[in-house]
Amino acid sequence: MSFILAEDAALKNYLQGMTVADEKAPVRPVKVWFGYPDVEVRTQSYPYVVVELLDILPAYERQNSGIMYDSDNRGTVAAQAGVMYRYSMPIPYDLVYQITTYSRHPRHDRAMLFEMQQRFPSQYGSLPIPNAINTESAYRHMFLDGFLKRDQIEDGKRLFRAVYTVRIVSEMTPVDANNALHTVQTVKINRVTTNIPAGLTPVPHLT
Amino acid sequence: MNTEKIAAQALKQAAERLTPDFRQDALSAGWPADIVFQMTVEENDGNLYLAYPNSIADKVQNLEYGNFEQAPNPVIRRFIRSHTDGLDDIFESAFEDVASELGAFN
Repeated sequence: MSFILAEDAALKNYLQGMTVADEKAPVRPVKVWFGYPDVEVRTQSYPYVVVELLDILPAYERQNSGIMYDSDNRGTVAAQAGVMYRYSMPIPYDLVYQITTYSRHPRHDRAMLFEMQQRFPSQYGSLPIPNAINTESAYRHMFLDGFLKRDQIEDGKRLFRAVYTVRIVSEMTPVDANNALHTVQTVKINRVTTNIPAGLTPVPHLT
Repeated sequence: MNTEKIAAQALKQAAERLTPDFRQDALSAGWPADIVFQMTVEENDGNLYLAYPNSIADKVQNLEYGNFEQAPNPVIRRFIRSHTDGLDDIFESAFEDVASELGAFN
């Protein structure tokens, strides 16, 4: 996966596996959502965690220039003997996320506070991100830039919230950058479709 | 020569300049004008902070951090991040003035 998608997936994966306990359920899993879930979903799913991407910042202070060589094209293809790839240094970025925990029960709230502090220490956090072909992972630095307790009342019930601002160091590879900058000039369409993959049907007005 | 006084003065001037910058950022991000124009960047005891009346505190927090009805719209955090380097420059410039007045560059 590429820039941002890889971090999103890694962060969601990193938050999986949290559980809380109470008098009714000794193990209650904590769900993780991207963006705030619909009301029908969330009323049934407390406690849960919401992840939101807040900002994408170029990290000029970490920028290097030069040419890199490797055998797996930055983890996008399997290495082959005698084949090397050459590319420019990636562009460093900081990705800023807001991670918010929601619960109705003070015990759940405290349990999640504990779990989150373990996962997001102030300065020495690291997020494992697998490469595109899933053969190895890079550990990205992760910083807890802010924490805020924002308990409130929702529908006459207590809602315990804790808000974490987390910064993850990242980089955009030259391939991603080229794709992002590439402008489509022309689109060619075969008006006569002769090779239709199994399970697909041609769009009627184009045939 | 009171260096603390000079630094505090530089910060106070910075606060005045930062208030319109912050308001512009907040309005551009879609924060409501009636909230934004009650917010100011102020200096107190060598610190810069964002000041607003208690009556709008909940609204400001909900805009910044979101709630169960709206996604976060983090103008304050973005503003702090983007102006940290600028504050370094303000201090640097203030202390250069002090050094200059003390004759360090003569």
